[in-house]
Formats: sequence, structure tokens, C-alpha cells
Amino acid sequence: MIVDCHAHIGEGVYQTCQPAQLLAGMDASGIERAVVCPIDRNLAVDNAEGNDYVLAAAAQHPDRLIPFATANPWYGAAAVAELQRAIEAGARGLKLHSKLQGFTISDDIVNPLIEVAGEHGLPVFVHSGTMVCAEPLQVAMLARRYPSVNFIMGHSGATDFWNDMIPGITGIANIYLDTSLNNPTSIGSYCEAMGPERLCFGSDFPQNTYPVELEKLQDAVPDEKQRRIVLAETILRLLGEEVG
Amino acid sequence: MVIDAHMHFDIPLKAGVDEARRVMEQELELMAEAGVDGATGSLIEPLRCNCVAHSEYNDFFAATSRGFAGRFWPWCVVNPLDDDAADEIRRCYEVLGIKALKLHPWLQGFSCSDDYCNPVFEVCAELGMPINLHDGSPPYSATAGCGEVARRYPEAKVVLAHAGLNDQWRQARDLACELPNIYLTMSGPSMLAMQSIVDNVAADRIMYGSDYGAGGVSLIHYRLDKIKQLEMDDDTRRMVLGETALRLLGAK
Repeated sequence: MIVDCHAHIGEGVYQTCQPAQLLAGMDASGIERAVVCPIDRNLAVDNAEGNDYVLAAAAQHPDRLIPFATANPWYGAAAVAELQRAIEAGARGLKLHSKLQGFTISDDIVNPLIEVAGEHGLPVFVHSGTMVCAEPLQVAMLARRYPSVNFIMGHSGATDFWNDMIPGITGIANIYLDTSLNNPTSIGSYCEAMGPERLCFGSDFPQNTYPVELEKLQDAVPDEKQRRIVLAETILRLLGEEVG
Repeated sequence: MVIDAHMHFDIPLKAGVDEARRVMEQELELMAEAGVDGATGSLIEPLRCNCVAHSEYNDFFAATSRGFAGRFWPWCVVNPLDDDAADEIRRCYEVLGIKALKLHPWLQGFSCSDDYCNPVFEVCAELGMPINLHDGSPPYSATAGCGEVARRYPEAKVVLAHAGLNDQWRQARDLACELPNIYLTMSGPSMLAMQSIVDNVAADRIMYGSDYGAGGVSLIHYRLDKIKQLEMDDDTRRMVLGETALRLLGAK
């Protein structure tokens, strides 16, 4: 089984991806399920619109799509209310993108949202790899502040933070790494240092295509047993699902 | 013909030319097995900020590369903070036959906007020598800062080695659309970004580049796969995969 921990759907400004387009890509590459998050503009603004879009798509394809909701922390109490609403409507995780949402991931403005996710036992997916606002060691500060919340680090720090990853992230057990956009050499070294149980296969669809991302993982994690964990088991565990 | 327009050899100076040639042969063979017919790139060691022996490295790399004509084209490296950096570039070009310069502002610790870089860019512009700049990594290797070199020196050929990486690729694309002396090697951006670059930038300024050396042979496969999956016509593909690089190197 292959589960993509990182895809986006919606009508965006720089990207648009209908559920049918994502599902066609998944079918062509044997991807059974995917975590779906709102797309670019809906991460920044109009969060409810984006959340409703992913919730509706997941309701239509409950066996294929796993909805993650977003809320821009600058909306304060309204953001908390929106996240709570989305969780009650079926959201399985929180997606934050500090570059698009205009804050630094370690700043306390984000705390109320993390606390809501934590109360519901939901994973928090955070973009990483962008200087000043989404650096891996900033994610580490946040993860240390909330040791009972599981964080998935989008792109695992790609591109410029490979130096920080193994010494700075290995010891923080509640950080998991998304493989999308990162290169096979780095992914292989993270797998070796942290174990496949800390890695989740991700595509960042529609930014990247499945054939390239899957072939990359074959090079990065050549051991079949380990690759099986990365391809599905880690994200399923984070979602609290049975791993077959 | 597939040319990798951005790669590195991690061969230490102390290896000596004979051993370095053996390693180069081996690695070019690995690249050939991956479908890459030729490559152009630099050594890694002289890009580190503590390097004080650039002339020695340039001699070493030129001597090592001499047996690989038509398969490998070496880049020289200087430190723009050195008073004789421009003279060293001229020597590399005229005496050693090296046709391109690599600078890594982030690793080497300088800003392209500082005055001491001017003689370096001036001599490259005069010689028609491509300047390959690591870009996409603020502050010193921010794409806009690297692109500014092309604006200030319209006769210079400026290669943005990572086409902006994940966060600055739109700047790389827009700068390449605006300035005809900017070239891009697509070592890093997403597929969506690469498609946008191919759709908007002239093919004679886009190149495949793996950044091999910064990672293993899987990097070659990964970045070649990405290029191969882009939608483009056959002429564009031929240019991106090799012809643009050969033209830039004066090899075609």
C-alpha cells in the first residue's frame, strides 16, 4: 500500500488541482490514499473555503482522500474556531504553511492552533525549508514546546538545511519527515540516521509527479521492508489507523 | 546528447593528478551508465571559505580534466576577495584553457553586490566566460542578488545554478525572461516550477544539471527523470538536455 502524506487540491492562484486530477495521478502510480490539504491561496486566506473543499472531496472519496484543515494564525480566535469547525466536520490533521501564512513557525502566535490539534490527538503538518520562517530548527523549537503533538516536517528541510537535520532533528521523536521535493541522497541519510519509522512518503502534488517521487524513493530507501514503512506505515500510524 | 551542466567532483588536491584522473574516469563512467554523455562542473574543495590555494586547485583540475576533452569541461574557482582573483581567471582562461567560472557566494562568504567582485565579473564579461553562481539561498546566494550581476554586466553570461530552488524559482524564471544573459540549470525546483520555466524561458538558456557531487548518483537519475517528464517539444528537449550547455561552453 502507498499513502501520500502531502497533496493539495483546490482552485488556487498559482496552482489548481481538482480531486479528479489527483485521483488520476494516484491511480496511474498505484497510490491508494492521499492526505489532501487546501491549495496556495486557501492556505493564506479564505481558509474555510479551502477546508470545505478538501472536506467535500474526502467525503466523496472517503477510502482515498484524508482531509487536513488549515487556519492562518493571524486570524486569532477566528482561526481557532475555524480549525475546531473543520475538525468536527472530519479533518484528520492540521496543515500550517508559515511562508504562505506570514509568520515564523516557532513564534507563539501558532500556539492556540497546536493546542487544538493536540487536544484532538491530530498530527500537524508544517512546511519547512524556507529561510527565516520555516527552518527545521524552528520546527524543532515548536516540537519541543509540544512534545505530545506529532509534527510532519514538509520537504524535510529541503533545500538548504541538510546540515541541521541529522544533528538537530534526530533526537526529537515527535518530528516526522515528508520526502517530497527533497533529494534521494538526503532522504537516504535521514532514513539511516532516524529510521524509516520517522519518514513519510509525500509528493506535494501537483508540485511534483508521482512517478518521479516514487522512483526517487527506490533510490533513497533501497531496502524493501524499510520502504514499505516509509510509503504507508508511518503516516497511517500518525493518523491512528491500523497498519496491516 | 545529454550534458550535465551542473556537477561537482569531490576529489581532494592531495589525491594528485593520476588518482584524480582515475576517479574522474570512474565517475564519468557512472554518469554514462545513467545516460549522461558529458558534464561540466567544479571541484568542491576550493568552494569552501577556508581555501587559500585557488591557483593550485585550478592547475590541478585543469591537468586532471585534460584527458577528458569532449566529455568534461572544468570550471575554475577563485575567491573574489583576493586581490588577484581577476588575474587568476584570465590565467585560467588563457593558459589553462578553462572556459567557465564557478562561484558559491554562500559557501565562500561574499556578496555579489560588493565592489570587490566587480573586477571578477568584468574579466568574465570581457572573456565571454560563463559565471556559474549558486543561487536560491539567501542572503548571499539569493536569486535576485545573483541575477543582479547579469543586469550590471550585460556582456556577462550568468548561470543561476539552481534556478531559484524551491522558494525563489519565480524570480529565476522572471529574471531569465527579462535578461538575455541569464541561464538556468534546473537543479532543485519542483516539476511544476520546471514546467513553468520551460514554458516561459527560451530553450537556449535552460539546462539540465544534477548537482551530482553534492549527493550520490541517485541525484543524476532523479533530476534527469524530472526533465524527461516535462512537456516540451523535441527541439526544446534537445536544447535543455545538452545543446544549450555545449553552446554556452563554446563546444558547439
